[in-house]
This record gives sequence, structure tokens and C-alpha cells, in this order.
Amino acid sequence: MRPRILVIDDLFGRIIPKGQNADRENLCGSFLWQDITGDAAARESRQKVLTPIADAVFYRGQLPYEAGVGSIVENDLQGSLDKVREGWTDALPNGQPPWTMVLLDLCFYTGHVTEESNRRTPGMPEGRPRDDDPSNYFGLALLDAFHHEFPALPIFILSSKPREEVSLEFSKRGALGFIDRSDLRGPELLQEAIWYHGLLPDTSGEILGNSLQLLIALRKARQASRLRENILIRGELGTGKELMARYVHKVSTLPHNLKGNELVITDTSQFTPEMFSAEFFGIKPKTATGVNGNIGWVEAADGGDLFLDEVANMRLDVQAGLLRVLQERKITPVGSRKSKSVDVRFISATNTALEDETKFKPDLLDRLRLGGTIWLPPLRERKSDIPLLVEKFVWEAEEKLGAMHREITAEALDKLLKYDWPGNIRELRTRIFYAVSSHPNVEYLVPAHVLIIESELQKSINSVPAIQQNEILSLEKSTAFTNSLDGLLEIINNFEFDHLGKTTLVGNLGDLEHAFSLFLARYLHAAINETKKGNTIDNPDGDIYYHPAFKLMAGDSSIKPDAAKKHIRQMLEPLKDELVGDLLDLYKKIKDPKNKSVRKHRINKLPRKRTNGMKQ
Amino acid sequence: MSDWDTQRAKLNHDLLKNQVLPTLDRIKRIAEGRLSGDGLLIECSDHLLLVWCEFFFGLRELLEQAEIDSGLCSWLTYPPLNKLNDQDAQWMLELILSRYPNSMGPIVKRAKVDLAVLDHEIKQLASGITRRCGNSDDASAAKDEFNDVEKSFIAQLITIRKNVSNLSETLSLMSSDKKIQFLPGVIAGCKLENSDRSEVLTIQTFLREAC
Repeated sequence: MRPRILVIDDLFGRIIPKGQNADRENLCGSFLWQDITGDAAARESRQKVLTPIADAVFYRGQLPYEAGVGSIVENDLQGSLDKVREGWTDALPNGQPPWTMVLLDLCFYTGHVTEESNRRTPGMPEGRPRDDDPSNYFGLALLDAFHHEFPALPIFILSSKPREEVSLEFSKRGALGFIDRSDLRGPELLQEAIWYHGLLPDTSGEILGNSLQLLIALRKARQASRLRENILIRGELGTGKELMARYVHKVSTLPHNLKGNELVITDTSQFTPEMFSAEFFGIKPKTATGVNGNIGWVEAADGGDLFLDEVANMRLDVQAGLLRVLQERKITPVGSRKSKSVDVRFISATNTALEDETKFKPDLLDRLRLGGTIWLPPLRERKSDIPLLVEKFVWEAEEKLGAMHREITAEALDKLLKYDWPGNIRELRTRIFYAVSSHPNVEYLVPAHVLIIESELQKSINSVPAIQQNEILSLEKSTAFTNSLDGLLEIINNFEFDHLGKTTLVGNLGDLEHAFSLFLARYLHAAINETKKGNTIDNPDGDIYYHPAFKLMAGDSSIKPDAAKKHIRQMLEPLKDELVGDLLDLYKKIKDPKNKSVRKHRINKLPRKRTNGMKQ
Repeated sequence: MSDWDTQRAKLNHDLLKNQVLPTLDRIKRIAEGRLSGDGLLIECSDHLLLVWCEFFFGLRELLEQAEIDSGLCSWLTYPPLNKLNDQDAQWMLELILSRYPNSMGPIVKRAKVDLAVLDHEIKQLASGITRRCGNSDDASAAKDEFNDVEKSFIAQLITIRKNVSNLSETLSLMSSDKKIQFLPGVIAGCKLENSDRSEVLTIQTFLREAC
């Protein structure tokens, strides 16, 4: 599967009446992209890229998409946000991964499409003077909005404007870099940018998955792999830490790779200090009678990588020995008086916290993560990868056990998706293998084959009380409403009144007030912005336009309720995700049983009534 | 930003960087065998000529305007410089250009030369493509093996692309702010003498002191 990039550019994203967009073809030809936009321009193109390095989806970022003489072209921030949102989720069809990267143009021309401007470049407007003003580039406004809503989204600027005009601005607003379209090395620079900053799955299939969380971890691995510094991998049991270490080793562009296979020490907690020295540093031959000598792990990994699993379990005295190696970069084999310099990158892994200074040396921790920490998400946070993993494990089990090939039913998959997988991928694999081995001669994998005890399953579903679970589901479902303000209003109604009891409010009034203040602030902010919009370029000195919602807030009784409702709806529409986000955060906080503020302020229990001399 | 600067920026950005350079890159990709399509090479070549012509005429007009606006030509029409004979006038122009190498005058001169050279190169390239595709199936022209002819074609493309990039950089350096504005000073500072020779000497002295 090729990288999938979204290009937001007025020139390349436009659709022209004749169909062919020669400028877009030029760009795709130059950068070796396959145009998969699906619009007329993509369909009309006769150009075939023989070995594309990426699939590109183009978006104009303006309305109308297809403009001709007489059209008025304006920038469309909301449409651009929606376009990004479309591909920035785990739930894409056919298990497609999310956007690898977004490329933004800087200068977007707006205004009338005249005969002259259309002749020069079909579908493009004349442009207004402010369009070319670096402080007013629409590309920077897009960057602001994207970075605010999608902080993990990799964004690069792709423009032929001078870089120095905007270098401070794009750095401040979260772009990862700038590629000059007219630079001959542009395509190569972009490929490198995609590799180190884009979200790419593991094409070898060793680490399977297209979920956002996993792709972010893989990106971190590629970034860390560039250096010769030690790397720490953290994650729960069974999340694939060893596989990730192998991935880091594989993608390293370092000149010296480990000779042969990477060495793995599976459990450093087994080592006593004496065993550690012998295993790590090696033994000089003829040190003692009957001792043949051997090269230690570190020397065998010289010039490459050494994987240390379960470092949290390492004894403190063993940690001291390792710290010395990391500090001095030298080893002295047991029985030898000469030390040797070594060049080894340590890739360590742990599933427990290392921050307790009584159990793990802080200076050792610092040295082990100099090159960065890779956090592996638990399986419950990347459930969209479960179907892919299940398919793989079923196939593996069938091959290993000689079992019949089977289809996985939707109900079986649903059961697997509902479970929280405390044992993560290892547990999933075990259960799938059991399912196949216990039913080797069937054509379908059904829920009954997957041995998750009902109580375990129910525990996952009921990890939050049922009534709250429904609320959370309805809240989360509502966050998927991208075009309905009704959903937002429904959330507010439910949240405020239906499911909260008095005790749960105790200690949280401050939070509720805060949430309400936030809501009100956003409402005011939106009203003010709507008011500002009324002062247009065509009416710069005209009457000040007060949005009806603003008038309503000021107590203007001339505004009819229906009109007010309509205006408020229009105004809040772009903000619904932020509002829902705030409400979700508050809701989860209130419902968190570990919420100390609730415990602190819990109402003291009243004394029990006495009945017949006995307490009840 | 003046109208002239706006036009210059538009030519540089909208035509040269957004259209000419990408079309050249695309032709290079076809020559490398990484792109194919029926009639693609001819289509690209025609498009290149189209956008190049638009750029060429636009820039030429702009450069002529720059020469006039920068005053270098018009200075010689005002007294006392208008009293110089042709030989001295040429010498005066050379002197001013050499004193201010980064002013509009020398940059415009360089740009005009680069433009003429590029115009020739691009037209040669286009006619070469027409000849290549003229008698053979265009699809097979795109599928040609990577031989010496292809290599020299790609080398030619790379050279042209580099020259276009250089022209783009030259255009970026141009600004109407770089006009020499001391014409009024020249006029005010020069003393009118009876003989032409002494006027030229006075102008020489003035320029030496002004620079």
C-alpha cells in the first residue's frame, strides 16, 4: 500500500470545465504521484506513472471547486477541515490507513475569474492584493486550524514562494518543514520527509496494522533509528516490543549493522552480577581450567544493536555494570586486563515504570532513552487493527496446524472487538490458535470458537457501569456526527440532566461551572467572529453588522425565536467538535472512580437508625 | 509593492516556477522512462512552448519598462548629460553601471541576456522533441532504451532547468527599490560651462564625488 498524501492547493486542486488539469499532471509527473482524487481531472489524465512513490488526493481548499468566467472564488476553511477529517480516522473503508501526510500551499488566489485570468490559467481568479501578502496567506490559516484540531497530523508546506517569507510563521504554527516546488531535489526531499515524518505502516507485514496509534509509534521508530543513540521501547505485555526492536534495527540507515541476526537477551532479570559479566563482557580463553572463553553479547553486537528485554527487572548491581558500559563505551572480558572500545546501540524494552529511583537507576534510564522513547499502544487502543491481526493469525494457525481454511464471521469479529485484550496481541494470537486448533475442520470461525468466557467479555464491556457505558457510547457516537447540530444539542440535554445524581456533582461543581463557562466563551467567540464576518471587503466602511445571535445575547427582543435558533445553529456548526470534546473530558473526569476531588468532598454518611437496639 | 514588482513576482511564481519548471521536470521523467502515455511527450512540449512564450513576452516587456523607469536611458536626455556625444554617453552609461552593479540596470542587462539564451535553448528542445516524435510512434519514443541519445537529451534538459532556476533567482533579486534615484542630484550638482568638454569633466568630477 503506497503512502496516501493530501495536497491542498488552489492551482492543482481545481477542476476545470475541460477536465484536464495540466498543472496537476505536471506536478504528479514531476513528483511521481498517482492522482487518485477521483475527480474529472484525474479521470481525464492520460499520463501513466510507471512506479508511483505515493498516491495523491488533491483538494482546492476553495469554493467553488469548478470555477469558470464570472465565478467568485473564496477560501473554504471548513471544507478543508472536513477533507482532512475524512482521512484522519481509524475507521476508513477497506482498512485503509489514514493520511500519510498533508501538503499545504501558501498563497491561494481569490476573487473574480475574469476572461483574462481564465485565459492565462483556466478556472483561476485574478487574485486580490491581500492574497499575496505573506501575513495573510491562507495556507498559514489552514496550518493553524489543522494543527489545533489534529495535533499529530504531519503537515509540510509545498510552495514555490520564498521560504524566508514564512519560515518563522510555519515553524510557530506546527508545520514540520517546507519543500520548494521548484527545487530540482524536491521529489527526493519529499520522499525523505514522508519516510521520517509521515505515517506509514510496516510494509514487510511483520508489524501489522494501520491504526493511528500504531503508525505514530512506527514513525517514532524511524525517527529514532537515524541516530546511534540508545532507544527505549515501552508498552504493556504482549504489545510487540521485540518486533518493534527488530523494526528499528531494520530501518536504520546506519552504515554498520549487526553482523548476522540481531542479538536478543530476553530477560535481563535472570542475571546475577557474575553471570551478567560473563554473558555481557565475555570470558577470556583459559581464564580457568575447563573454561573455553567466549565473546560476550556486547562485543558480538559491536557496530550494531543489542536488544535488552525487561530491563525493569534488572537487579541494581547488574544495572551498575550496564551503566558503566554505557558511560565508558568499553568492556573488559572476565579474566582479561585489557579493555576494549565498543560501538553498540542498546535497544531496551520494558512493560513497567522505570521512574522509581529505588528500583531503577535514574542515570541509567536517561542513558537508555537518549535516542528517544517509543510507546507501543495496547491493543484496546488500536482495535481497528484487530481484523487484520485476526486474519493473519488464522492463516498462520491453519498453516501450522494443517487446518482447513475458514472465513471469519462478522459475529466472531464483533466478539473479538468487544473484548479489551489485557494480554494484548499475544493473547489474541493464543486465543485464535486455540480456536483453530480446537476446530480444525470447519469453514467458518464463529463466536463460539473464540474462547473468551462470557464473564471476561462482560467485564470488558462493564468496566464502566452500564448506564455510563451507554452514555459514553452515545457521546462517542455523537462525536461522529459531522454534519448534525442535532447530535450536539442531544448531548448537552443528556449530559445536563438525565444521568447525574447529586453525589456525583459533589466536588465537581467547579468543573461544571468551568465547562459551562467554556461553552459560553465559545458561544461568545463564535458570535463575535460572525459579527466580524459581516464587515466584508465589499463593505469595508459600511454599517457594522451585528449577527442576530449576538443581538439575541444582548437582549434584543426583536429577534424571533425561530430565526435565532437558525442563526445559533449555523454559528455553532463549525464548533461542535470542540464543544463535544470539552463535554467528553468533563464527563469522563466526573465518572473516573479515581477522581480524588470526589472522594475528598464525599458527603459524610448519616448514622444508621437503631431498631430494636440493633444497628442496621 | 509597486505594480511592476507585482507583475515580476507573478511572472516568476505563476509562470516560471509553477508552469515552466514543472513541465521541464515532467519531460525529464518521460525521458527517464518513469512516465508514459499516448502523445504525452508532444503534449508536454507544446505546453512548454505555450507557457514559455507567455513568460518570454511578459518578461521582455517588463525588462524594457525597467530600463526606462530606472532612468538610465532617460538621464542621457536631460541636461547636462544630453550634451554628451554618443561615445561619451556610452562611456557614461558604462561608468554608472559599473559603480552600481546591484542596481536595476546591471541586473536587467543580465536578465535580458539569460532570457535570450533560454529562449533559444527551449525552442531547440521543443523542435528536437518534434523531430523525435515526428516519424515514430510516440509511445515507442517514450519507451526507448536508455542510450546515449537519451542521456544527452536528459543532460540538455538538466542544463535548461538549471538556467531557468538561475533566471528565477535573478528575477527574485529584482526590485523597483534598486533604481538609482540620484538623477535630480546629478542635474542640480552639475555646473553648466560654456564648452562641452568642461561640462563632461564637471560631470565626471561630480560622479566621482557622488559615488
